[in-house]
Amino acid sequence: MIGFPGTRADYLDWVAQPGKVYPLGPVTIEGNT
Amino acid sequence: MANIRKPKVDAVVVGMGWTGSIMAIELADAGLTVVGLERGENRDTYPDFAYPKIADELTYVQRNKLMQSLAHETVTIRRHASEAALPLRQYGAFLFGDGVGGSGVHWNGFTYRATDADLKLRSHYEQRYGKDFIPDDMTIQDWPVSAAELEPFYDRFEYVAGTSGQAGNLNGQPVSGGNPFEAPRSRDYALPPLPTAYPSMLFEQAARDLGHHPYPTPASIASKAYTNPYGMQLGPCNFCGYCELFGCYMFSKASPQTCILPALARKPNFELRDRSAVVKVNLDSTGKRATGVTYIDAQGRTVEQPADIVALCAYQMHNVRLLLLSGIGKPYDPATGEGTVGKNYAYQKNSKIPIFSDKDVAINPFIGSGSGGVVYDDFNADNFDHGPLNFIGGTITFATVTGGRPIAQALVPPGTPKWGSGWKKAVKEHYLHSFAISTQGSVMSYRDNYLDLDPTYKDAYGLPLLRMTFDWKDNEGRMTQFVSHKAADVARAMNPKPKSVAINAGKPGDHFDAGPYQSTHTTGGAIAGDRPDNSVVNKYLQSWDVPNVFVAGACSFPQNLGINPTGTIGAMTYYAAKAIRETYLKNPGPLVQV
Repeated sequence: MIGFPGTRADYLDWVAQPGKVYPLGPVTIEGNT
Repeated sequence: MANIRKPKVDAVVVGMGWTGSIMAIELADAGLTVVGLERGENRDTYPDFAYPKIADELTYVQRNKLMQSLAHETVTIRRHASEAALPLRQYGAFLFGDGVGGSGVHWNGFTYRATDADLKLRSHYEQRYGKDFIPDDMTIQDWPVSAAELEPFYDRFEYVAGTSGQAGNLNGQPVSGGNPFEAPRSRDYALPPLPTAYPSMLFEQAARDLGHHPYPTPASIASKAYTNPYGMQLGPCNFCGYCELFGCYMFSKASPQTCILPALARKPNFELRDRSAVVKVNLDSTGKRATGVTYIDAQGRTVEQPADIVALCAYQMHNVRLLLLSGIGKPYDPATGEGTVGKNYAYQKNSKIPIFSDKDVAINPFIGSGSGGVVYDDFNADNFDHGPLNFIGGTITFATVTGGRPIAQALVPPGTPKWGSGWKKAVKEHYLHSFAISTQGSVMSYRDNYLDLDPTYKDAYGLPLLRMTFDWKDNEGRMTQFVSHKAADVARAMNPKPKSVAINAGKPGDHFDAGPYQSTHTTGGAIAGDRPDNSVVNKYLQSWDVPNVFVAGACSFPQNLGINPTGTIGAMTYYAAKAIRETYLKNPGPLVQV
């Protein structure tokens, strides 16, 4: 895993947290984690 | 002979991207009957761009789902007249947007305004640096409009698109935090700037520390809920990271779909016909008046659509090709410099400065919005002294993150293997800790960079393909070297200090390579000017030769700018539409007398 969260595609609440590590793992297009 | 002849309409619009949508709604608002013809399929936010199917890099980027099939129609390319041009069979340097919305679906949303110096390019440089400063083979010329003339129309486009940004010059008064080099604007952007992501923050501080003037990128991506003058509603961007090359599922990125088409579709005097490929503008026996267009429909039938006004609003290259296929205007001859159609084809020259940080610096590159970020214009247009530098033009320098798509956007340091375990190890090590500063530069026009019809290759309908003759010149090579090293200085000044900084700027003397993607900002070939002998259209985008034909889009740029083209394309189209509505309709004929 390289740290790409896949299709989570919703990060507005993370823009304002500069430099903080995003905690969630990847999701597929089908919705599998 | 056409298989079908449709009833005559007041105006037929060819291509339903940004310019076609603007032209169609403005003419329909004026009460005209309007038919919009789009060669691709109809598309809308739902279902075509719906989440989660849209979040698919392989389908939309590597397999170009939203782009024109190159097996159906493409362009042939050569670097010099001594070479044989070959068809582009796989997308590379630029893309041909296809379908309703056109390139306005897959763009990033950067919405800049040109400076007055850029619009008066030749006379400005001659005045400041002397006539000898411009090389003989550089065929640059002034635009026929000034920044002041275009201001209300830039404003109009920005308010239709819901552009988010920070003013730098309100009615001549400098505004802190905006672009100090911007031409005076009459009011603020439609929306405040988007939130600034971490990479852009790092860039902004370092650029400011080095004395540059960074400001929020003007982005037609809504930072807040917004209703535009047509009543279309946009919602705030969620930084999904699927912007460039995708349709927006959030109704946040401005596009014909989000900003114009639903309002246009409600008008009883407008009709959209998709999968209708226009192959010719028809002329009467004098050759001075268009009678309409001929197109091929989805069943392969030839259809004639008579109209009083023909608005060519297809992609830059396709507009030029349609003029050549229709015999409108005199084709450009590079040997003599005579003729205008196909003249002054130009492009942009870009570079990237990839930055690799330590593992404790979390860049999170997947947090992206097509055009939200930070940019400086200190080395753009004529905002700096070109005298000692020996080049003409400039670039914007910016840090935006459009997304962290792992196939195409993962950055690895120079020297990394291109595949295999070494490449995988490098991606894993750097993916979360890297981003790039970009420069995007103007390309001047030259006597031997031009477009014409290919003598050999034909499209699926048997019509000649467009042929591009284009190569890089030393002027642009010098420009890119200069701005890229300045950008690398910014990268090295960042805090925390990067582990390494690379410069991907090519080198002077490089030949044009259609392989790697650069940008879809191709320009010229049907340029606007003040005289019929130096241009294809007048300032109102009206053909000098056939006054009921209007040609909108980047094909009208006399040479290219360092900024993204869409703001200027939108402004010029609104400018033309107003002239048609208020002047042409009362007295159809040439809007500029010479």
